[in-house]
Amino acid sequence: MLGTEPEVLANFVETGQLKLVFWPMLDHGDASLNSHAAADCIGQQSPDAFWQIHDQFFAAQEELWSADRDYFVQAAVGVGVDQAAFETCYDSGEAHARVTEQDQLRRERGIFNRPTFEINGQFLIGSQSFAVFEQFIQAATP
Amino acid sequence: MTKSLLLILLLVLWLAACAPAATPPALPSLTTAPGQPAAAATISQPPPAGEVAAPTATQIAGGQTAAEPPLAPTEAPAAPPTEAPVEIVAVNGRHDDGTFFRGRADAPLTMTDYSDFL
Repeated sequence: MLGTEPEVLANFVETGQLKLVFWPMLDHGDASLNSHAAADCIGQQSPDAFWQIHDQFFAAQEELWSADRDYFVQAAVGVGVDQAAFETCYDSGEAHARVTEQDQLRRERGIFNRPTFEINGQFLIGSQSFAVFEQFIQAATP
Repeated sequence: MTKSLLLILLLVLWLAACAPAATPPALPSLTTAPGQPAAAATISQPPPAGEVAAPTATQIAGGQTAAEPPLAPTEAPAAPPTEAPVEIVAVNGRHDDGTFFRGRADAPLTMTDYSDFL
């Protein structure tokens, strides 16, 4: 959704029509687990910072394959959260457990395609153009 | 008889000599020099509130003034109607299940994005 997200945000989220929820999928082992856990720890301090790092991680996907703890600490500091609090969260494993549980829930819901978008039980699968999102959202609008 | 006629004639002449002139002397007519406008009228009444006072005379070459017809009163331009801006409170937040959301918590629609950063 990275390419069309700005348009969806401008036309539907920022106008108050739509709330966008991010649900982690851990399809690539530890690289997925650690990056989502890092984002979770950042978001624990600031939801705004979560969305900042969400956008940064999508924009720097290639770096995440080899990202280590230091990479995530620097990323956390870069979006302005407290380093010590981030490290405490990340090292505790609390966030790793939470995102693992969320990933398990989506598997139980039968969601295996990536990405998948859901509105009221209706699904849109795969990266789509804004026009498709617009149609999908408008079809679900009461 | 001749004496009476003479007295009447004298009386008439006397009355004619004493009577004031019947018509005033003719006044000189107002004339405007060729090429010169007439004097400008002045308006002492202030313009009503909300109207724009129109200039009544324009300075022209030679320090003379030329009368101009007063312009029609102009209403003060009304402020264009503006709609009250709709304030959208878009916030970022977190649900009890730990997921993060963008937008109004009470938005009529919720779209969940299941995705991996990688």
